Amino acid sequence: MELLIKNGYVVDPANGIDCEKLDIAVRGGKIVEEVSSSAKILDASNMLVMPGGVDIHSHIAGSKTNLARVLRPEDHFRDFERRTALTRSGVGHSVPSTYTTGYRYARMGYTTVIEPATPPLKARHTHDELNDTPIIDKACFPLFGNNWHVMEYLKNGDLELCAAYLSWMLRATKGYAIKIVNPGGVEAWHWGGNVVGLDSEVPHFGITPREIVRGLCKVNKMLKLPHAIHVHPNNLGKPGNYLTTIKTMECVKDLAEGASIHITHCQFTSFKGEDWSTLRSGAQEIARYVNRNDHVTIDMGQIIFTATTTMTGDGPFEYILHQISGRKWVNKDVEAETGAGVVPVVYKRRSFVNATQWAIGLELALLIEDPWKVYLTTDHPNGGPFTAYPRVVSWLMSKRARERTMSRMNQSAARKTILQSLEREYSFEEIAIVTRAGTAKALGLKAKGHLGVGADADISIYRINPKEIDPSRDYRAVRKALRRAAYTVKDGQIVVKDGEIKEVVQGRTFWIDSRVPKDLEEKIHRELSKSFREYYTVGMENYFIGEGELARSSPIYVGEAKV
Amino acid sequence: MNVENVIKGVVCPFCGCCCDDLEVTVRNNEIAKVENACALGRAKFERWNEGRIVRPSIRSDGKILETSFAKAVERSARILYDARYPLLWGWSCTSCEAQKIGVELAEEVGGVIDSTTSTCHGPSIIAVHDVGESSTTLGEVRHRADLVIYWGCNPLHAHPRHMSRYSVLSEGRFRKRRGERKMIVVDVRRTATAKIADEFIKIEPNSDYEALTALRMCLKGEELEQESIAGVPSKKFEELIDEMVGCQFGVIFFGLGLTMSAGKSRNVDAALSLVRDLNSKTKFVIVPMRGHFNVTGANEVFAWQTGYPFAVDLSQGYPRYNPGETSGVDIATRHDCDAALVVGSDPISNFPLEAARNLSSIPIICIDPHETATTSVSDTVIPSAIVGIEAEGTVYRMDGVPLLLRKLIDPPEGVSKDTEILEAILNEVRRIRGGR
Amino acid sequence: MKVIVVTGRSIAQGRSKESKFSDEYARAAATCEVDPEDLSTLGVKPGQKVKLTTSRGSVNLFASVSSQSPHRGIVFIPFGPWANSLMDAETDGTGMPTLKGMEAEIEPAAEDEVLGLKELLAKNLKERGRT
Repeated sequence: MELLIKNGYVVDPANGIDCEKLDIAVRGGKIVEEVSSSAKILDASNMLVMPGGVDIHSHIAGSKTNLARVLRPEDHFRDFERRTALTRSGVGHSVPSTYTTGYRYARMGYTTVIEPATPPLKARHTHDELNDTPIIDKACFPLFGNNWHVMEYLKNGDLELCAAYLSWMLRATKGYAIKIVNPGGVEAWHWGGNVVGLDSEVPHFGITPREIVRGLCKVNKMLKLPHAIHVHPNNLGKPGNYLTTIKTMECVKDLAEGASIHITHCQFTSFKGEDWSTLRSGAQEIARYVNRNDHVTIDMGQIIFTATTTMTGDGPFEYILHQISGRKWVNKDVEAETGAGVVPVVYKRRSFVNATQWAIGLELALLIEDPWKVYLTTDHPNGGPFTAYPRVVSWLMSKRARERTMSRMNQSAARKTILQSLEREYSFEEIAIVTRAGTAKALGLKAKGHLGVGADADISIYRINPKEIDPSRDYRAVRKALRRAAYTVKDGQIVVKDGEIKEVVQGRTFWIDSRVPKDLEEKIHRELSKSFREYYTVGMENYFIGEGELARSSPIYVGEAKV
Repeated sequence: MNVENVIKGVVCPFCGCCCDDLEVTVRNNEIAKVENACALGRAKFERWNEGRIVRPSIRSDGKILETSFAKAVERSARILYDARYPLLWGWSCTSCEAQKIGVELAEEVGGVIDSTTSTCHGPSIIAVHDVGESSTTLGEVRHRADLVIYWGCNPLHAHPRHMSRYSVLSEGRFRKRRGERKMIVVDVRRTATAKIADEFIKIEPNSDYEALTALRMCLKGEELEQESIAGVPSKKFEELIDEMVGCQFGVIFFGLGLTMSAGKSRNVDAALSLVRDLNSKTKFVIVPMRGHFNVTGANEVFAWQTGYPFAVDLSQGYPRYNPGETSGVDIATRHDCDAALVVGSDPISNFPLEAARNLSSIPIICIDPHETATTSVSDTVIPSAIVGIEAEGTVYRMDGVPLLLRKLIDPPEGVSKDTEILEAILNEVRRIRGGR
Repeated sequence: MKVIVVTGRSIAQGRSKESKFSDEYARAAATCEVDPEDLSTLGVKPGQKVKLTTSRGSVNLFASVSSQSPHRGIVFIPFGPWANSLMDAETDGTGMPTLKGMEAEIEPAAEDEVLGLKELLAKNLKERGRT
């Protein structure tokens, strides 16, 4: 199938193209130099053409997402979609059902989404749900920061064996990257406790969070994984935690060759102050660090003033949130590895704390100079549903939009944030970086996030003319256009037109087919075979997910590990 | 030729324990032996071929006539297509793959899909909507629990290997020996499980809510005014709460004793609230004892596909959920459904009489490997392969851990998998409708 | 005698439930476990027949002496169509019928028959139903 997208204003930052009128040629699901005269023509005149959106962090599938769906029928009652000839029915404002999730991302022009916190023992559940999430390509990040095997290998200095274990685990769970959530803290939570910083000792394991993060960073390099370690630091949600975040970024600096750490939903870990009443933004300090150091990337974790649902692998944090807010609380620990918690939340404009949080996310994005280091997320659904991304874009592109929201929020918080003084307004090119080009690059997805020859033909076309519109003034028009793509093209097929689903396709699931030298592979197999049932209540052979279990498996081979 | 094959690491398709260490010897396409299974799992494997249905059948003029697969599918599709409000019931004894087709079919015919959750832990889920749940996968209990309470359940009869694989008789990283754990049973009778407990607390029937509330009061430092509550001396609740607060890692496993007796979801609400409150003092979790091997899977599949875990009404073209209104027993009792598809379940046996009676008066399509009371009154019966023995599939253990069931032998000649049967019915419904 | 009926799983019922029309299943599910003292008060010997009646219906069962006593005043019946002849379909808005804790009368029924599954279904389902 050939497609020619004509006359659009193309924004393709990875290839240095910024609002140039260009034609994009598509054949066989890829972007090509040119197509024949029998190609289908898609007239993109006066429209903005970008690579399809790449969301680096969004909790859309798996055990805790489903726990949240079950916890919150009330989240579904007021937001549902009827079945149509092409689409399945579904529900959900902050925790949509899987079909609805896929459709809603596609309608916004997003074509790749990462599920960022997968408990390995239940990775099969994540893949089950991803298989039922239509259109978008996806990948998942298995959790390792509280894993017994990892902590033991690192404690014993067995870096090679740790790498071999991680390699096996990535294949077993069909995972894409190393995710770390509150390292050591969730193991402590399995006794009802927590850790308080990088140098706390994890009970019974004699290791510190610092050692866990450094060890996994080294393993990441050895395995040549395309994405850096993806870290949710200790002390999330605690006033004063910005220091922990900086220390966490700093603790792997010496291991850097390029990016060595990604700090996720950074807003939640950029708090200054001693308690809630003295809460301030630590965004300046974080931004200063990120500006001065090239081994770090972050994503925003922007909050939206709405009712939403928090869900993370940070069990102890969710318990604290439950205690503070009194809202209902689900906790699900996972043996020998990790855990999760879910608590509904409402972010209120009138709340000093929430308003400060709102400002922090934006300050981070506006103060970090290089848009290739900071990405747009709401940590869906923790900060807000992903359907609010266009709103975040409008805040980034328009000071006026920010002021409007600030005028209606807690004024004490508004006065204390430096947001008023920030004049910066993102351009379309910068927006494309923080929502597509930058995220694809950070993830190492070479065929995503750009429109060069050889890229996957994932393209979003929006009904705004970047040459004519002034996004600073007409931010509402920008928001409206980004909510409903004029066209979304997935692997060369038009799947969305004017915000309606035109075709449903099955997206790929990317995973790393990680390999280590044969003797190491055999060694880890022997070790695990002996002890697996001592750690887990299932056998090794039942833990491992077969490639056939993925509806559309797309393994990525990165070469043999350098041990 | 006697070809024998020993298959290890087999997942058992009986109860919610989903033990995954069974060793099954297969010889000449038959189950010859099974090791490591409990009496229930053993019975499922060793007696897999008893009471099998091998041919589809249709009821015509009060007579049961064998028919072809195609005709049975045609008839099933026609019944469902014509129905105004069909009920698609069962699902707990089949694979997630089959459950997914069930949801699609329910959406296609505009019916209600509900699983045996309704008559098992539905009330628990209802309580979770209000309170939440502090829980864990079973391995954590094995590794850490020093206080294990079985409340309103009898694992020795319903989940026989539960204690040896997951709790008091198992070996964990931090609890090596039996003596490091205390086991308490709370029940209305001195069950087989109660007999091996360190302590048995006998409560009066229909008084779990009072007992749990008494414990919550003690936890909050209130004084109990009565001398005895639920047939138990009040002092006992004070002692019990002290033990619960004083443990390092406590767990309540609860069963149908809470969900089925007076109070139902409120009983579970009280238990969930108690465990939640205990977390301010120590680590405490609660785990429902799910009966069937894939009832949890049905909750998971329905929830991620429709947003709701059971009793999903798709008759309006979008998912609606209101247990009590959209749940199987109620729909049958009110005689609202005008057709039913039953998959791997026996509601004619398991529903209270009034509901069973109404159900038996409407056309039922029953898909099952074995003869049941339901197949004996169905309009159309289609035999299916036994999931976990003759067909593979994904299941979810009681704590949400997903596992794969294997195909060990071929089903009887002409017998199809649930997924094939449901897919055929779905396609036929679409064909009748005129294609999508 | 007034009792409370509790229905639930038993090993014997669980083992035979895939063969609903077998004798083994009938033996497992058409029985009730009665506290030994209650049996004695009733004047019924183990293996003899009793009649259970609730507001929803009645059924004849074989009485067995409970191995899970004491539970005076409570009669346990394994899950199945015999038990369900007695239980209330009312779900109190939860979807769950009342399958434990119903008030019942138990009396000796030495001369009566305990129905096999076929006969039980024929009897139970004939009103508004089908056999």
